[in-house]
Order: sequence, then C-alpha cells, then structure tokens
Amino acid sequence: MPVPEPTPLERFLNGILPENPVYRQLLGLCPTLAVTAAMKPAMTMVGATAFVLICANLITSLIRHLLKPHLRILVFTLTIATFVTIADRTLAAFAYPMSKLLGPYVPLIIVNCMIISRCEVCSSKQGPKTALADAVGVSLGFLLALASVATVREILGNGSWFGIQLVPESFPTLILMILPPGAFLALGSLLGLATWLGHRRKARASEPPAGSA
Amino acid sequence: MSRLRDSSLGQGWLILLLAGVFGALLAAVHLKLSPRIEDNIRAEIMREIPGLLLGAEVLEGASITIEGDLVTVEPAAGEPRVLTIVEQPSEASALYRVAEGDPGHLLGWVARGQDHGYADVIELLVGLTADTGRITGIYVLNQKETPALGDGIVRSDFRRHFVGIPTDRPLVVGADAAQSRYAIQALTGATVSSRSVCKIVNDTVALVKVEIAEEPEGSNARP
Repeated sequence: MPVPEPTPLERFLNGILPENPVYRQLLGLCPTLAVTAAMKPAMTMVGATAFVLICANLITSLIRHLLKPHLRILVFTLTIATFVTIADRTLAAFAYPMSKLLGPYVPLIIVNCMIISRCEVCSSKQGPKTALADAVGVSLGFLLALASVATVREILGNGSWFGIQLVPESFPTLILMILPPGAFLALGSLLGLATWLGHRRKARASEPPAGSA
Repeated sequence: MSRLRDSSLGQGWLILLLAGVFGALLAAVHLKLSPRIEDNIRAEIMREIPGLLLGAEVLEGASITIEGDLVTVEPAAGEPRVLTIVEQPSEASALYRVAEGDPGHLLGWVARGQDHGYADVIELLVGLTADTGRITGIYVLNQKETPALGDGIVRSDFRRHFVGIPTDRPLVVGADAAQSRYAIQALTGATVSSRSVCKIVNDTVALVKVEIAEEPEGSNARP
C-alpha cells in the first residue's frame, strides 16, 4: 500500500521544527555560519533565500509532469540560479550597503542544498499548493535557525540586537562571538541544545503513563 | 516519432525553453535595475575618492556630502575640504580628475580598473598623485574572492602596502616585500587574488600615465 503524501499543512509544519533545515537536516550551514554575526545581514539572507526557495518550488511544481528524471537536477539548478541572480541584483539596487556586506554569500545561495533538496523531495512530486506551503515552512525554519544563531552572537559579541544597544557600551563583550570561531561555537551549542531537547521530548513521549503497571 | 523523442532536442526542449524564458526575465531585470545599481556604485566611488587622495585618517569621524561633482569632507576637527571630481574620457573603466577648492588646483587622479581574480572579476579604484608618480591608495570596489582567504584584499592592512609606492616600475608579489618597495606581500592562502590586484594596479597605472601624458600641455590645470 503506497504511503500517502504529506498534506500542505504537514509540509508547512514539518519545515519549521521537525525537519528544520539547519537543526535537523544540517543543510544551509554556509550562510548559517557566515552571515550571522548580526541580525540585519542574517535576516536579509533569510529574505533572499526564502524568495528563491518559494519561486523555485512553485516553478518546479508547475512543470513537474514535464521533468525527465535524468535532467531534473539541471532544471532545478537553472531555476534556482535565475532567482538568485534576481535577488542579488535587487539587493544591489535597493540595499547596496547590505549587498556589499553579504558579498559572495548571496550568489552562493545557488549551491544551498536546502533549496535543491526541497525541489527534489517535495515540489517535483507534489502540486503548487503543497510546494508553496513547504517553501514557506522551510523558510520559517531557516529564519528560526539564523535568528537564534545571530541573536546569540550579536548579543554576546556586540551587546546589541538588530543594531540596538542592549547593554551599556562599557559592559565587556565577547568579541570572539562575532568572529568566525564564534559562529561554530554558537551553532554547535544551539545544535546540542536542540538535539537534547528533542531526545528529552521523545523520552517523555515513550514513558508509560503514570499508574499503568 | 520515437527518433525525435530520443534526440537531444526531444530530451532537452524543456531546458532550452526555460533557458529562453529565464534569459528574457534576467534581461528585463537588468534593464530595469542597472541604472539604479550604477548610481549606487557612483555614489560609493565619490565617497571613497577623498580617502584615496587625502588619506584614510582624514575620513575618520568625518561627514561626507555629495552634490553632483562636488564632494565636501567635514572632518571631526578642522576646516571642511571641498573636492571637485570630474570623470575624464579614458580607455580605463573610468578616470577621475580630482581638484581641491579651486578646480584648477589638481590634487590627483583616481582610475577604475578591473581584471579576473581567483573567483570572479575584481574591480579596483587606484589613486595617483597629480604627477602620477606615486600611488596614493587603492580601494576594492567589487570582489567575490574566497571568503576568509582571497577576500582579505579588502582589508586596510593589505591595501596599505600600496600607499606611496612609486609608479616607475611595475609592482610584483613576492616574499622579499621587506627588501623591495615594489614588492607586495601576498595574502596567506590567496596568492592568486594578491597577484590579480597587483596586475590590475600595474595595468591601470600604465594606462592612466599614457593617457595623461598624451593630454595637451596645461590641460591638467584647466578648470
């Protein structure tokens, strides 16, 4: 008996936490490590990635019946590269300083496995409604991941959040956290925390209810 | 019929169609956005030129106002400095004649040059003294070099090596940077990017020197 395909709501919810691209699938780690020294670049990266993911998922879903199995990766890459170029040019036109700050990381969205994996797993097999729900859910999951890493790094390393100073200037900060090693420390710690919370939840769910002998 | 289906065209028609549609979409985006992007780049060039010719320390804490060809630098302490920046016709990507106060008082030249780096094109601004005899500084306008390695070319400690070097001989990348004033210390793990920067500086300086030497006598002093 074939396994029923996930509904749009299931796809949407799975993308946020149970199949979170960063904390559960360990995908999209390059931007997670590289642009999370502060919230502003991290959120810009999330916006650009979400735009590309939503567009790529929708297009792939609409043409899914025309895809030939051995040429599908080529179609995915062509589609993703087009929308990454549009995102890159739009940032250069309307948010030039941020575009300079992000540098090569916006063009590098093309090789973000998170996007191509959604094309492969969901949008090349299911309809546009499900593909859209999946893209939005995964984008929210990516937002959650980058926001958590960037929050830890910006507050500890700079004493600010979204550029707003939270602690007095004289308060000592951990400069290491906004340097490259800080990205690994923050991601590793949060990944450990997420895994521990996941195990604890599973253990509680598997415990027999109180009173049942 | 089956021959057509099995042919390259039969297999790849969707990719050809998508390539055409996406190409047209990108062309439309480029046409719409490129004037705005060019304006952003011009504003960045106008903001960086004072630092290349007056020295980076002048810009510390200074506010910069751009009005057409006039750039006013108001330092944290001291008198405001007004620069007139005029783009000259050039075979380089762009050549700017920079004068201070009275437009006749030539301060120096800034040229925009580009070439391939390790990953993609590197675009530089190269500042030169009024007689083109020395480099006053370089600024990296655009680069997509390897993060944490080649992108070190944007750092001020690398760019500082170029300040004050005479232009009578081409620069080289070498380990004997301490011995020769024409040698630039390569960035660790990014020799190709360092060499590309030196090549762009050499090519741009050579081109600008020829173009300025060919100008009619006295034209450098014209308003």
